[in-house]
Amino acid sequence: MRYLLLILLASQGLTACSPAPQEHRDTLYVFGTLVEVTQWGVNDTEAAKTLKSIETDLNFMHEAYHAWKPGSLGRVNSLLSTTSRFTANTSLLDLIAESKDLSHKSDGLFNPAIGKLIGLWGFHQDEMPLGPPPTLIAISTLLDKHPSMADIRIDGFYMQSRNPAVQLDLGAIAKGYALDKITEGLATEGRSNLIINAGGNLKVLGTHGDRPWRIAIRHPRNNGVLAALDTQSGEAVVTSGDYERFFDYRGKRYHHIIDPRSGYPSTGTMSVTVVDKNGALADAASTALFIAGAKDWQRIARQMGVTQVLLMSSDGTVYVTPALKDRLTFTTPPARLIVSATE
Amino acid sequence: MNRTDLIILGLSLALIVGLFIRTFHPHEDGAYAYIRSDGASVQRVDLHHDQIIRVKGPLGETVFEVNAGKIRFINSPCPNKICIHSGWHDAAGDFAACLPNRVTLEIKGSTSSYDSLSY
Amino acid sequence: MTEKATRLIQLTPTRQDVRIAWLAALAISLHILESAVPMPLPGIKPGLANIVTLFTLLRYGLSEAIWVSVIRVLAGSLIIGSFLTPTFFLSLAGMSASIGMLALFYHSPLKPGPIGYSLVAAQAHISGQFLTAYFLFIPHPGMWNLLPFLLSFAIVLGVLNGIITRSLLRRLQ
Repeated sequence: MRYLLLILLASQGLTACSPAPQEHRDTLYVFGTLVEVTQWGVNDTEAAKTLKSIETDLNFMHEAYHAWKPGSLGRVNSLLSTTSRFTANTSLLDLIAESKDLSHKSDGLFNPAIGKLIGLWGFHQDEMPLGPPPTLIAISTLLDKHPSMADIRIDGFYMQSRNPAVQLDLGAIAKGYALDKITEGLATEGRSNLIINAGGNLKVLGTHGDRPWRIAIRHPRNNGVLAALDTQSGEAVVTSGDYERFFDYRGKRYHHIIDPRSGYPSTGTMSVTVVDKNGALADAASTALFIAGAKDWQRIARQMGVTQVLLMSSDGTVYVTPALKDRLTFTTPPARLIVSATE
Repeated sequence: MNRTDLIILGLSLALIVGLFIRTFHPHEDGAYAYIRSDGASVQRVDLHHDQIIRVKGPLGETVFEVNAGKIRFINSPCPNKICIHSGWHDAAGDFAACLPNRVTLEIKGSTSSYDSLSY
Repeated sequence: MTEKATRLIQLTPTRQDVRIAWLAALAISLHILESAVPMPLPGIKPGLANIVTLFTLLRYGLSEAIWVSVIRVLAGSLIIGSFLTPTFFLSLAGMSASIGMLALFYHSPLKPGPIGYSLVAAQAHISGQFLTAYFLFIPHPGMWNLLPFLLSFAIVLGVLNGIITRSLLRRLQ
């Protein structure tokens, strides 16, 4: 028993480590979600300054891109429904143009033009809706009008929709886009070692001292970690999951990722994680690939130009691209792992 | 060997199998909980120090109980009480939230294996 | 210098006392013998001394078994030189847990045979040692990973010791 104790002490290695003093972690409630900012290698004053500027920027963008509160996007939506030409805010024009492009590349699976449908499902509120789900008639009435990003024409500062049913909900791209813009700004100011995690969608800058920032991906079912990876500066890690926003009604779960083809919550996928330097692309692609599902995700990923994807389908099978697989350490070994290239 | 002996042997074997499963299913025991709430700095809670933690949110007070290496929500002023129903959390990587009251809970192991979580 | 009265206390050992002494001596010898034999894994011992305890329990009853065990741990540790060291407390804990469980079963209507008693004793012994080690010496969560392995050995050795005890009892009948 004595030897046992010695061996234990040696093997377990008393590696109790306390968080280093250079690390700052703060939480903000902005963008309708909890935003966690982790900074490395700065003093308290610098950390507070960076935090304040992130908060200001996120608040501004949230106001601009919000799908159901009055703001820049609210104004755009009311003007889109008139089908006449109008001028829009430049910060929005850029994002809408990018959404249009990505929607096209995703074969319309990422479709921010279905704002009305999302609202119909009750996801245009901060609280989770309580149900019941909308009626089939209400859903098909909206679907029959085929709102699509292709209906929107952007011409300089001008915008116009040829379809009055188009209402924008940028929820599947705005966070990723906002993270891109904010980290761009911070990098030019030389504030370069941090993670901004906005409700599970995150972007990293720099490193944690002499090691890379290490990001974990949540397991969609057991509250734990599925896998972890070391990131490079400027990378975004975005996850879309059916557990994020949902409501249960009469024993059935309805989540917030609506398939624009059926008008109902997309089935067959539990979560998708996309890693890319372009946060807006990663954000939009995670939603599109979620809807594409196990059968079609490779094609859509190829069209959208993302190469680092992990998808967990409803049967627990994990599909991963070789580019991402090489970087992942699985903490929960998946029951079935399929490595499939998109090229 | 009489019948009692066989029963004792059977129970002993069952105990071992149970212990092996309990010990080696892939999870790391949590050492700390990070409690995040609106605006406030992240609270780092030692799970091996039994205590009651109260956190202010926009709806009111969310209360946590820490007991022998695990933590749970015991009260929160949210409508659905999903956070309370999630029960005890003790494995590193566990994550639970009371979003209506803007409070999240994340469990980390003593060898913190990552800096941030994508969910 | 005054002469001091010397008082002699005469102790007359009963047959039972002698028997306990012999059995305890045997247990101690086995215990020492065991500590000299290298084992493949630290913390694992055949627990041959437990055979003596079991034999005493089944042939002469609980109180003699308790005496033999207590004497074995106390005298044994004095002989090896581990009295009041961690090793001693671990032995004491293992012995107490083991005797406690044996007593429980002895007074129960279950009536196990030698193998059943041996299994109970071996597992109680290792569990008692383990808990003492955990709470007194290294309360590290990693310790728990060892418990299933330790208990597996306890079961194997428990059965073996039980079989040996059974054949001993048969031969000496």
